[in-house]
Amino acid sequence: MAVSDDEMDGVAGYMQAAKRQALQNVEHVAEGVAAETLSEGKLFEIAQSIGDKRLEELNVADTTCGYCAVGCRFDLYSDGEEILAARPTEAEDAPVNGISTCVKGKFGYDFVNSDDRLTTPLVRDERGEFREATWDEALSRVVEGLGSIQEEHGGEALSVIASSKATNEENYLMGKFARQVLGTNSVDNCNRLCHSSTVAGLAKTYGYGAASISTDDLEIADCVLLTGSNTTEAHPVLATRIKQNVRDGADLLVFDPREVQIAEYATQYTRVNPGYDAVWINAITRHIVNNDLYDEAFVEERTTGFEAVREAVQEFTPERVEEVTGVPHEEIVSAAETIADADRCVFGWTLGLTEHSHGTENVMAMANLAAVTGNLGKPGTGVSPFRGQNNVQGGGGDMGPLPDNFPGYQDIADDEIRAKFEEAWECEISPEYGYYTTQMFLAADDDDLRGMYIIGENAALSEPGVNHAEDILEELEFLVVQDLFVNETAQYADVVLPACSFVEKTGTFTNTDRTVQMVNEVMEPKGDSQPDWEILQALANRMGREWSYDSTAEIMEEVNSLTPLYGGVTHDRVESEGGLQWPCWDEDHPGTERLYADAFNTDDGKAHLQAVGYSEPAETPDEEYPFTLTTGRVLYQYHTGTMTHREEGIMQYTPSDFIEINPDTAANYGIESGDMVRVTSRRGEIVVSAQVTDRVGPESVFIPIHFAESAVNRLTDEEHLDPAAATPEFKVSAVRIAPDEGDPEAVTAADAAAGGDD
Amino acid sequence: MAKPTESYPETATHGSTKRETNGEGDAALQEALSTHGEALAEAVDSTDELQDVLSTAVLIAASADEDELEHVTASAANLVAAADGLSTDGAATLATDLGDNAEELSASLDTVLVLQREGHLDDLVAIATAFTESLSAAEVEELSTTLEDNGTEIVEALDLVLELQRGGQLEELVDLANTLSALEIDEDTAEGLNNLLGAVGEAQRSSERVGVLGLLRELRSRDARDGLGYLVEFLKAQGRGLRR
Repeated sequence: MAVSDDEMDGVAGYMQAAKRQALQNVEHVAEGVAAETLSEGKLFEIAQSIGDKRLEELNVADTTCGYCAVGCRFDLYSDGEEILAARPTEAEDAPVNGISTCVKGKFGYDFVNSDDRLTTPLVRDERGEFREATWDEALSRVVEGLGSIQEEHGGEALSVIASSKATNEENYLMGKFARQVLGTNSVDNCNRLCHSSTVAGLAKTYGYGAASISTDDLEIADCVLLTGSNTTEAHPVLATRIKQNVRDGADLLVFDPREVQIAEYATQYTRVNPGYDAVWINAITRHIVNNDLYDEAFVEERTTGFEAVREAVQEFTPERVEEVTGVPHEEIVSAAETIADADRCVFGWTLGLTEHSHGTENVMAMANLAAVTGNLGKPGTGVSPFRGQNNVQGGGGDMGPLPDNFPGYQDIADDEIRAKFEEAWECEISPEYGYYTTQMFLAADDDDLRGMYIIGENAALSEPGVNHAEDILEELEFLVVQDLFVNETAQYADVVLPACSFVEKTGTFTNTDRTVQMVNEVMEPKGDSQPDWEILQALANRMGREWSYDSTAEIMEEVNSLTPLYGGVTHDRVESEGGLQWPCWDEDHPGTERLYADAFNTDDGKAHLQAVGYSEPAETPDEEYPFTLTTGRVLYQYHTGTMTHREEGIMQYTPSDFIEINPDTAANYGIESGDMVRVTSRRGEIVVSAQVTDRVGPESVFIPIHFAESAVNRLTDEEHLDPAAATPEFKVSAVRIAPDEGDPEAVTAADAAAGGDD
Repeated sequence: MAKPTESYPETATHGSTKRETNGEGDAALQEALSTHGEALAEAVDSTDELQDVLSTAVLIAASADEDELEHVTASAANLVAAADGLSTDGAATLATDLGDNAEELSASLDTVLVLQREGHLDDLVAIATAFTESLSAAEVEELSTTLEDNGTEIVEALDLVLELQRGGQLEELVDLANTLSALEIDEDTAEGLNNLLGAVGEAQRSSERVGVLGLLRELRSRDARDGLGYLVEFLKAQGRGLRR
């Protein structure tokens, strides 16, 4: 009575199901007998042996989480159809998280085999509707679409948006594909929308655009300063480690426009007006410098530019700072003294510092503060931008799918470096930088860009000013989207190629503290979906190149040979050593736990402090738009919801969008929790339900970024970008609010709980 | 250049690869099965374990192929061999008991096999389904017991109900009075069989406990059928032993 996997029809199908039921019945009987006759101990043993037996039939692999960039590792269990469980893996294989995982990493896998997961390529039929296509036809269409633009207008008229969800190896190929196959430097990724100002700011001051710390430093610091980071919701596992340290006596300073949940654990929470971060940071530096609380020896031996900084911060007088940022002088003083008193301090931030029209300046102000207090290069000290996408550090940065850099932050304008890549890739590469993501959408307006290849990125929701982004996507001559789903962006595509998720492939991710970790295949790709690297290879070969990678390990070998930072990062070592932190120059190099222990990555080995003056948001509130809108994340959702909206449990918890409004403001407008509110900016308007809470100040409102129906990026500004990093100012938009006619939404217990977790 | 298009063929998605329920086949029976399938499942769930096993025996026999039938109705020697496979003294004791009853046991299963060989498979399923939908759990149990007990009479009874069914008299088919009187149920039999599991437990307690562990192992093995056939036959033999 072999139970076949193939479902049969009719009577045979019924009998097949009946057999299955019969087997279960017999099991029940056996269990009943056992329960009556066996001791609990024996039953437990039996259960254990049955459990072991059943696990033998599952595929188990240790892998690295595909949600945020904390880099949690765990064992995933799959029966080949779906992910059944996530359980802790060996401690040495999980250096960042140990046994911890957050709700998304533990349970958020329904997206992998959700019904709308795309498993077959799609092309447009003669009426413009999507129809199924073979890979052969779909790839031919891509070659034709991209190829004809390339022929007529040159490769520069094309761009690639790479995916920080994909592996390092795949991102390396995305950069190579753009430059070698398409002939364009316009390749960029989501980092532009988040931490590119961190990368620019830290690279300019210290040399590396990355966290200097190891995650362990968060637990051995005496003091942690967090700003613009809703750590408990956006990086829950890091938050756990910080909270543990605070429990054991460390000081925690939180500066944020919203009283986010981590603020509950803070020694000091200070509410700041959004958009003036350089001001309050400089004020702290000013107090430290003027009162001789700085680390003189460190400044003397390891930095340049101190005098310029000392001079620049003088304008940030207590009165002015309080007026602009809303922070009373005594709070600046107490924070300054706490930092100065600490032997070891870590400075952590997320997008609240970076998503501004002057984000790079904010980051440099923070870099100055860390340097003047000597908090770099030693255990328990350093700077720690918490990266958002699982592999935005490695895939989005290190692997160089960037308009200005090759892998390893090697400048494309450098003739020697460019020659190295031209030789290795057998192609010519222009020394001119390509377009940043945000600039691509502006360039397309002028027909400077005519075709796009968007991989694993939901630009139609995530770009600032999405009304504009949608127009651009619709007008493009050719758009190919490679994704797991027909997401909001793919709806504009000429061709949609079905890619597969991180549980269906092998490679590496690099986490927020520069640790390169293995991603292992837990289940076969769904349907006809393929890993990004295989799709890229097929396309490259159809476009006249000869790529012949048999595995991602081979791709990594090529990365090793061209990227000094990753010189010794091979799959074998990552596998056997359970993670390797860059820089890792060669096979004998042990990797780098903490940056700048001996020298900074600058020409003279010193930190180059940068004088940072006054800055303010590009758009400040006025009579017409009197409130400052800031945006962010909630715990149970992730980015544009492509992954989390397919998780039933998660959608029960935070099912829809909302706006946080201060009780005073709400009272003025006659708004109560659950009422619908119309929110209008100079770019557009949306209607969302109200959550009245003093988590935000009376002059600010907050809306999460995760929901398509009410896309908050209809309100944000696509034009005012950070001059150095081209990061948009997601964190500040001037808006007005008004009660909307729509039916009020009941505020459920779950909503209230979600709010309380903020 | 492409207009935003929300719709796309569902067949391009993972959802389309999941099992589609109704396929082709005898339309009427299909309908009957899909209508009653849930009720059957419910009935099976709501009746006690003994009932489950008896239904199971019917279903397995009705859907098994020749080779499988041979296994299910295996000779005493096979049964003993299977029990020996458990390699425990306790199980061996049980197996000896079973061996004594093996012949009788095979005969009882033959009842169902006849139905299949004569091409009544579909009818059997339809009837079982209709019954379980219309009868209470206790009634189903009794009926199953009767199936178990009444060898050749059952075939006759089934012939009767099949005729009713062919005549479209489904209501009559499930009419309790008609059916049960035709089957001449012995009420004591049901109660007797109800005590079966307890008896198994008793047997286990008096032989060593590891027996059940071995049994479980058999059930969970890749070839679960071996264990299944063993259990079905074992229970029947025990039941017969009790009645004696």
